[in-house]
Amino acid sequence: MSTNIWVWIAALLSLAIFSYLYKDNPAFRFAEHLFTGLSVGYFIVLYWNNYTLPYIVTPLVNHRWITLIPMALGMMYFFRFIPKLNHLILIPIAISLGFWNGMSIPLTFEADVLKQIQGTMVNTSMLTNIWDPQKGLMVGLLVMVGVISTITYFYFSREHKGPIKVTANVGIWFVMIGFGATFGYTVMARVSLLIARMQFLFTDWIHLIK
Amino acid sequence: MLKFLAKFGKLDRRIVFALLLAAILIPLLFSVKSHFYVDAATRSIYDYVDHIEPNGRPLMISFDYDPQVAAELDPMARAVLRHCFARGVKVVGLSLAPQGDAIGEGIITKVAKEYGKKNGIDYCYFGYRPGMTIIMLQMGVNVKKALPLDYYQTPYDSLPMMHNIHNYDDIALVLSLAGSTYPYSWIIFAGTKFKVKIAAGQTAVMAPDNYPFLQTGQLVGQLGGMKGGAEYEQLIVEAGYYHKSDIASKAMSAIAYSHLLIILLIILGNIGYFISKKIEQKK
Repeated sequence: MSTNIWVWIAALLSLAIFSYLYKDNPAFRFAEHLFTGLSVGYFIVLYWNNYTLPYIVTPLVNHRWITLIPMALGMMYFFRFIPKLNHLILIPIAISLGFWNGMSIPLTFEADVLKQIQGTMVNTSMLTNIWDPQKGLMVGLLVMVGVISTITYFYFSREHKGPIKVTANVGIWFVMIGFGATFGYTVMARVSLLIARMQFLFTDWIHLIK
Repeated sequence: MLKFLAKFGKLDRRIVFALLLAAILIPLLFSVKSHFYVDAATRSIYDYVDHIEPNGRPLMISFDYDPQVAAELDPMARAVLRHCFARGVKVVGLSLAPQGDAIGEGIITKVAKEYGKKNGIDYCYFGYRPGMTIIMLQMGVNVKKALPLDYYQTPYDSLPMMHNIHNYDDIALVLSLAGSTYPYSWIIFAGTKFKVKIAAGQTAVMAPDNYPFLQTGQLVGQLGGMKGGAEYEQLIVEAGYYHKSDIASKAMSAIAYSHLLIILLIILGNIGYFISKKIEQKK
């Protein structure tokens, strides 16, 4: 067994959390509250050290008075608590929205729309290796059919009957396969976390696994 | 028989937990080995890193994750760092997630020690930088402004490795390890705007979201979940960059058996559900 006190603390807290799988109990509650308290404390220190100190306190101590402008804008968020001045909160929100929209819209449009449309198109380079699982013609066609049929499924301006219904039904299959893949990955994620905890308990704590 | 099968539709969740625990512990305790193939998305990151010039442009690793997903992402970080250090590729580390700060430092210093690499010369770690997208954008113009001090409060100019690094043009690849949408932001604000190559190491929950970006080439590659880490571990062991399989590779048999159990329970649960429904209808 480990002689490291921190390994023991981590192991006992892990077991306390796992005990919830049987039913709610004081050990689980203790671990849960401890985690909440620790997280809050950690973030207070982190935000003080990484935001308040370098971006507000240090510049002001060094007489960089321009810092007062973003600081004042930030402080305006607190007008939320003063009903008479509540409307002033719109100023920092408007600046923030304006900046982010201006910054994000062209880039997001390029990365999320143009590139993706380009990726959906079948092109002549796909003919060089038709069965290539990454860039072959068959995969290209499959992607194209998947995109068109799935978009058709979410097209609500016309009643789904005739060819639209058939295409939309194909789209449902693609959506379901997508959900299945996501669910499979999610299962792997959760199981991986459990495995890692077991590896910790049986390797680092009780040294049963070498 | 039908009554027995119907019971699977209402199986006590604690029995499921116990079975899952057994499916995980037995392969771990008896070191059961399982075969797994290397995904193309993993191999493309490996190939890319394998072609980075030693002592040339560095690889940037962003530890954009919290301890709750470290189980999946730590093995990836270790494997990629071992690959880099074994080949003499320099590494710049940082974190854009608050809790990734100490995680990154722990991993990078431990792996650097394995290969006798020195801070400031072979690698640099800048810790957590607040601002996320602001930092991504700022590094495209001036890395020094975005990362003025390293994790140990050493000024940028005092780090010999960073002397020739001005912006993304001087970075070979950015690898974002994350349990949320950080790689997506890297694609948009660094990849799209500054044309730097981006790769992702994602938790399995997030991995499917990136396939459209892999298909378009906006991502060089992706390590998905613990399997991604195991695949990279296998690749570096096969190439002789590291001498033994690590924690993710050892977990693969437990993953395989637990998945088989879950598939079996899903099938039995559905059979049980339909049978019990029929029995109720007969009544």
